[in-house]
Amino acid sequence: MGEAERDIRAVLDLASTARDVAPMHVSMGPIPLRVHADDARFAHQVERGAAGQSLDSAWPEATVLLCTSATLSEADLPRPLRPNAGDGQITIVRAGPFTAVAGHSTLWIADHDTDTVLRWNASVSALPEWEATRPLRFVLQWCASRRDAALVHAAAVAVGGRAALLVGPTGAGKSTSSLACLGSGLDVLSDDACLVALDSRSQGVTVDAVFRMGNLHANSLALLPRLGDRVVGSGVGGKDVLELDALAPGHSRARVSAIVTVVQTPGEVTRVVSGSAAASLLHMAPSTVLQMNRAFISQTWSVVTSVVKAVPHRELRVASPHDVPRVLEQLLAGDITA
Amino acid sequence: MRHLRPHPERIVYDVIDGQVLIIRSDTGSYYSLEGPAADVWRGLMAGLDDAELMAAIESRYVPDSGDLATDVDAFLASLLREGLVEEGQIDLVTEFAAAVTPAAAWVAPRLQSFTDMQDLLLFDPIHEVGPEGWPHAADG
Repeated sequence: MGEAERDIRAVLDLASTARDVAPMHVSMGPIPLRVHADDARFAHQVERGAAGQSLDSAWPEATVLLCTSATLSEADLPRPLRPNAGDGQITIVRAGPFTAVAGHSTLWIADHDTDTVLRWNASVSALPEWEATRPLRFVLQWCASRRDAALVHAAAVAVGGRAALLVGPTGAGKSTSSLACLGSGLDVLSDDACLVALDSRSQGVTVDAVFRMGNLHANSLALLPRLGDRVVGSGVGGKDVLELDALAPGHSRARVSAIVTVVQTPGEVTRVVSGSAAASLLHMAPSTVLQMNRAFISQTWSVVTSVVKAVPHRELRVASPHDVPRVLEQLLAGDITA
Repeated sequence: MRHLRPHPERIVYDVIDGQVLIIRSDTGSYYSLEGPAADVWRGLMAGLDDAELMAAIESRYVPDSGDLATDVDAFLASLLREGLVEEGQIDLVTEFAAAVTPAAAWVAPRLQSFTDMQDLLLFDPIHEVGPEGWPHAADG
């Protein structure tokens, strides 16, 4: 056993006292989690942000330890694993069964042997703000990387068990288009990030909601004033936070019928036209690989390219977000075969 | 007899519908290759050396204008300059299908680059700690 592995094991041993706190059981889509938090506010954030359990889940339960300096002081951490908020650097260490990532005031350690993940912050106030509405992304990425699944940068809407993944560059309107479907009869599984998995039996792709909340710019909310009633707070960058639809059993998983690139085309008629796999990959893969945790790049890349090759591709030309629910419902009903 | 291969540590890439997407994970730049550029990349993935690559490209394209060899050399130089390839034999070669007929009109291969996500990585530079980087004694 090398020094790094021994030092990381010592950190996990110290953190194990957090297990004395009664666990909270929560599911993020198909992934069941047993969460021990040494500060009740952490547990509340996870419970508030998790989408709930998908049906037919066969994923093993992972244990998550959410610790502050009440359990583990910064001096207990080996020097490379001390997350310094000031230097803006992310450190990745792989040693034995452990993957450790330190940065943004946060240390993550995943133990592949025991299905356990530690998250450490000096205090609740040191938690990056995105963890409040999109909690435990590292855990989702790590769990997904061990199966044929990935947390991808895409919105997702579904009806009748069929889903469309909405992709596009920043500002293309993924969030606005997906959130425009709230209350329309379509299930909004994601406005930004969702879990996709390859189904080896059917050769298809499934998508699961993992987060309960969506985020919307104020200018987009102004276009969709009926969503004002759904705003439950503010999130990253001052965006408004809304609750998604994927809360009821059976409504948080669907089979992916198409990957849809969103394009703003003001002045035209909102419609779906044929798309290309290359465009879908270009608009989904870089942001998935580069914006999310980069400790799992090779596994994530493999899943994303496989997903792109497995489903049809379309382009959604959006003149007005109000048209989007109708057009996507037609697409998912099979009435559009562009 | 020079071989170039996709950089094994810096990039991930795939070919879909004849187009190539390459992501350089350490800088956040990503690249799209189409047409002749994608064919040159697929030739490198097939393990062709410079001469074999030129022969393969010449069998696929009609150089109605410009100098095909000069264009390919310039494109390979741009791949090297961007750090997407390095000299060496590729470990796992993929098939580069026989020349298509009729040959297509030649267009100088172009490396289309995107840098809109670089800011994310410049803000969060990655430092991967290997065994040699692990300190023997932590600060108190």
